[in-house]
Amino acid sequence: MISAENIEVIRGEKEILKEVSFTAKQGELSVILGPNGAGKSTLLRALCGSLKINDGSIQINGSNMDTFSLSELAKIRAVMLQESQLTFSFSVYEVVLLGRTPHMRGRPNKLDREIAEKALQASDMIHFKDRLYYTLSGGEKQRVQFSRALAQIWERTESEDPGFLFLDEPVSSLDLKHQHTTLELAKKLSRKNIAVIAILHDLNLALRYGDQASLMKDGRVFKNGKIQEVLQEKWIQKVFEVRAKRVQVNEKFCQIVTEL
Amino acid sequence: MNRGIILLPLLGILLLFSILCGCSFGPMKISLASTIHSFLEPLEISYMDSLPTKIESMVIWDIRFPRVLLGVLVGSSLAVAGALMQGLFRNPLADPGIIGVTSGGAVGASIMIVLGSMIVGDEFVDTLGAFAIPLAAITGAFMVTLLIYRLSLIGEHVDIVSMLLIGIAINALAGALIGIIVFMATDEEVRTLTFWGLGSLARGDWHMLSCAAPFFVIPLLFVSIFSKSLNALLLGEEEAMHLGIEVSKLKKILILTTASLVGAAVSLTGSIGFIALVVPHIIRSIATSDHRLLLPAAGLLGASLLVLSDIVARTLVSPAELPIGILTALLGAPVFLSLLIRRKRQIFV
Repeated sequence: MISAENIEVIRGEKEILKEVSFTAKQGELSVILGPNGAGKSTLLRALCGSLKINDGSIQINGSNMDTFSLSELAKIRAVMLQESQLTFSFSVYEVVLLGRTPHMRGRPNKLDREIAEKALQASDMIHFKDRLYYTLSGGEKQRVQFSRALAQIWERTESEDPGFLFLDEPVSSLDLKHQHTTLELAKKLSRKNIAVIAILHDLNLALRYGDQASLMKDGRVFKNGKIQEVLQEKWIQKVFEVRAKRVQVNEKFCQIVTEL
Repeated sequence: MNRGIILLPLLGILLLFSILCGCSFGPMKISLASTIHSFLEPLEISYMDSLPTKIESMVIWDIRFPRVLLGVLVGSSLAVAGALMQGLFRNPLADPGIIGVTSGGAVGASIMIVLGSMIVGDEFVDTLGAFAIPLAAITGAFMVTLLIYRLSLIGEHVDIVSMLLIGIAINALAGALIGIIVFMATDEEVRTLTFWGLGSLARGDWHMLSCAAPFFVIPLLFVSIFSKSLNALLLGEEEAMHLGIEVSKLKKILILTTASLVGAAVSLTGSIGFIALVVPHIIRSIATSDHRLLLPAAGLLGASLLVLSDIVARTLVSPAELPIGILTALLGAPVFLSLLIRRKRQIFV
């Protein structure tokens, strides 16, 4: 479990996060939603430890995050950022193997290579294994980065120890099919002892795959709770400043239709 | 990684061959067999034919071998420094000569030669002895690397255009500073200074080698520890941090290490350009960008390339000598251009 309590992030004069509290548990896919500039990425970066917070505290499994070293953190949580540039010629497989860095002493062993292959299979990129990373399209790169993050915490999916996976807009460049397969995979991981925390823009994908949601606006958490309760028409209208309507598609799913 | 099993031994053989050629070619022709023999002599292994004469042995041991060894140290240091710097800047265009690190080293060394006793006092210079100039060069190289890194960083990313433009400015500034220093120097000091502009291995002798060796050998020995971190750093600084790398510590060590390698090289041989650019580029194109293989392979190839260039430099217009920098520039400038052209297509090898 990871929980942030009343965290504050100030950059220069600007308060980017104000009194933000957030909790994500194993077994759940937590979604962070909100308009541009609401502080979603900042919250994600604070939670994964790459950004210093000015006030408040973050607890991982009950201990303060400051007590973890970078390499300890790297063994329990993986992060996929929005875009990763790589100007040198690495193959897709080599990029995914980089995800094994925290577990390696020097060079990858047999286990590392097996995990890299499985992670590539999981995101349906195994056929691209030997392609050079920079020759891929944006969406393909995103799927490789997903595999890399997955390879980093692979052991956690098979053990009792909890892991964390942070995803910053993981489906932004993906085609429809892979948006679903990727989030399906993220959901499956959350059921295997990984707390998945994802920033999403598509409310319908969030509604379909998310368990918990935090709706953010102007650096604050506007609404926290179960996704069905958070994504109510009135809250969407308040936060996104669009008119919203929930339409029941069948007994299981509903769609959110929005307009200005 | 399988390519490494073939590549490293091949490069090792190339280096051995270069060293032998470097000892055997020159104004006085010594056969390869005699050269090999003269190396085996101290080990008391001998085969009967082609014993080297006493003069041949002297030429090899006192003149040519130290010079070749200097080429090996400087060549491998420059190539490894280039690979490290390109990893740090996450860009294959980062060459210590082009971005001004070499000039920084040259300014440091020049200041020490001409103004050293004035600035830090005669006594201090005497205490440092032969270490004074390498240390000054390393300091200069270090300051420039730090400056460029700070200035070319825009947010998270190193801005390549800034990096190259800052390099132009620093090279110009260094040229001006060295000009002023030359103006203040005595005739003898001017002779010592002139050779920085050209670059040469001619000063290689045992005393100098033994003084400068630690500055090369120590960084070269422990540099491979960083291969894993350097690979992760290529993904980006934040990504590397998420993979458990202490990025700010790593960057400091990398800057210090490249400065030591480049500074030591400059203090002994002057500015020899493009080795740092070309050699890592060749290894990336024929084998891999993985630093675990790239760093040792670049070291071996850099050493061979400089020793071979030196052979050409001193035999082509013999008995005169071409400045070796001319040769490395002839080789390196086209590669630099081709990299710039590829940059348009966002494709780097």
